[in-house]
Amino acid sequence: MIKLEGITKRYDDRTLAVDNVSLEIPSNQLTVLIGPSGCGKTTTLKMINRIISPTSGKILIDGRDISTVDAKELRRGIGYVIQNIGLFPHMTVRENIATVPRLLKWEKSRTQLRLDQLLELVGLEPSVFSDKLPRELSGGQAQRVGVARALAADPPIVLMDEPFGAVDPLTRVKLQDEFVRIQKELSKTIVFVTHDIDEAIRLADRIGVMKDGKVLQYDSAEDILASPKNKFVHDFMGSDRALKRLSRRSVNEFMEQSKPLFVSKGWEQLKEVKESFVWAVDEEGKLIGWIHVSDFKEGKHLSEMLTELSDDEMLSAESTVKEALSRMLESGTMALPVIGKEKEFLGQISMYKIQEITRNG
Amino acid sequence: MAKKTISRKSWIALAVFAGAFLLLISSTGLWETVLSFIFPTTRQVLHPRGTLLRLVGEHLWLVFVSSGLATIFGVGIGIVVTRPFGKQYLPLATNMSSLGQTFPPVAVLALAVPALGFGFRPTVVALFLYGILPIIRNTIAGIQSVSSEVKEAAFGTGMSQLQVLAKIELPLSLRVIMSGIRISAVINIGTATVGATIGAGGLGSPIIAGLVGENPAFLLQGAIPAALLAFLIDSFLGNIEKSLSAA
Ligand SMILES: Nc1ncnc2c1ncn2[C@@H]1O[C@H](COP(=O)(O)OP(=O)(O)OP(=O)(O)O)[C@@H](O)[C@H]1O
Ligand SMILES: [Mg+2]
Repeated sequence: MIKLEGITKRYDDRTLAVDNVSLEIPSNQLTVLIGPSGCGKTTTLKMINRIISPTSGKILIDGRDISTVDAKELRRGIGYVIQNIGLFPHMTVRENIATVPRLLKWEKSRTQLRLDQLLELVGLEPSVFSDKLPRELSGGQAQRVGVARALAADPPIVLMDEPFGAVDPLTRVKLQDEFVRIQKELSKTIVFVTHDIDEAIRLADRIGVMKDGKVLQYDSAEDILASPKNKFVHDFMGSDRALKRLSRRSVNEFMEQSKPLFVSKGWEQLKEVKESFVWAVDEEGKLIGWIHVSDFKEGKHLSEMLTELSDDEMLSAESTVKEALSRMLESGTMALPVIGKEKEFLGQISMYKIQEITRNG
Repeated sequence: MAKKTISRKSWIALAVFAGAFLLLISSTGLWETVLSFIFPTTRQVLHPRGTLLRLVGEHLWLVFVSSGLATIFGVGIGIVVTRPFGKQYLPLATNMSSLGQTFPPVAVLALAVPALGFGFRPTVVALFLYGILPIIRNTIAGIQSVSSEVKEAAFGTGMSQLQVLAKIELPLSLRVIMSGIRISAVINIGTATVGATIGAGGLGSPIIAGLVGENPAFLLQGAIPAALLAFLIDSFLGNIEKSLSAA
């Protein structure tokens, strides 16, 4: 855990960049610091690896006051992606990434192994990129190298200052998705600075909203969206706050159980159905469509009443509730079925349930 | 490291040129014939101090010693004034290195003689003082051109001050520093001729003698090799400069 206790930073020119900030940043989670330009995010971040020293207050990492630790030692255990990447222009991609392992005097073979592993992790083909110089990389590739360099010696803590700032929105979303995957795998303690609220919501476990050097609210991403403490946080989260909240929720959590109908079996199953319609599956339990109960006539085979569903009308269990809502609006239905990887029927999510979520938080 | 940007061709061209130069300055007979032909009325066309080869040797030694010292101290000073502990001397060093250039070399020599007497040593001192300035200037410029982001990233990885200097700042400014050394050496080849006025020898001897004794043959004997030597050294150091990784 990283603990900031009453941290204040006043620069030599009297600028009060950080004003009495206290935060507890939990281990193995991704904490985002967000706020408008100049609010002190970078300054806060740089005090954690002692690039900047606070004017007052102290910072503890796992209970140890970092001002008592040798700065070089401290930094070798903290990965750092600076704003604007800062790759070493005279070194190849490989040499850039190997910086910390070399400082730590790793054996060549170990470094080598780690390099290939890291390049693959950040989605860069080692044989293509290893020997390139930074100026031969695109913005997105350079940012991947920056992330790989920070992760090189497998530090438990990683500080990232707008690591995906300098790329187009599409690439940014791609990098974020990959990063979510990486973090799932590695579970680092990450402090992540951004001023992009969508990025924050996509990545954060916890969010600290900053303004004028102060942390206005520090909570889990869900709580900040559900109950912003003041007007600034409220406005910063945007007018589509409710939708953003839904984007943090997975369909999995709100799926309702319902018993599907086996189309291959007899119509007697319909007797047990209480709703006006029922989801229909084939003999292997794979979802194929739905049946209106009122369409039923004695002697008619179930398959004759079946309305088939396209793939767009089925949700995977990992989809977000926001996606579910969007699909419902698109297809004009009040409920959608949820399926597993093999298309097996898992349950359903309904408009009614979604309203309940937004109402109750 | 980065790919080398220099072609083998320029090194080969340089070697050929250097060979031709060596041949030229060792062909005493050739000089005598040609100079007697151009200046038929002159009784003595070859400078008596020594062979051309020896004069070039003296000249190179002057330049080598003074530029070598200038490089060591110039780069050293440039590094020191860009460290946190030497910061307060940075404006001084910057001002001195641009101001010093406006000082005529003869004046430096004139000042050095009373302190060190005549001959080799005062000339080396004068050339050293004169040649150190572009090196200091370029070392400072080179180190300052390394972006603060890159340095911050370097410190962020846990490098020490010394490691940042050795692994980041110097490699990234090497080319600019080398260019300062080249400028300094070329200036010194020209300036070294002035050393002959106080008896330091070198290619300045025939030039001064030629001027004093109104003997244009002597003059050419000093001026032509000096010009070629300057060109040779300039190309040599220029090649090294280009072969350093371009960042
Ligand atoms: N070295 C410095 N000297 C003086 N003032 C500084 C220095 N660095 C930053 N500041 C000031 O401190 C305040 C906070 O800066 P900081 O870089 O932490 O902001 P930020 O939140 O990271 O902004 P951005 O989103 O634009 O990167 C700003 O007002 C800035 O001008
Ligand atoms: Mg910043």
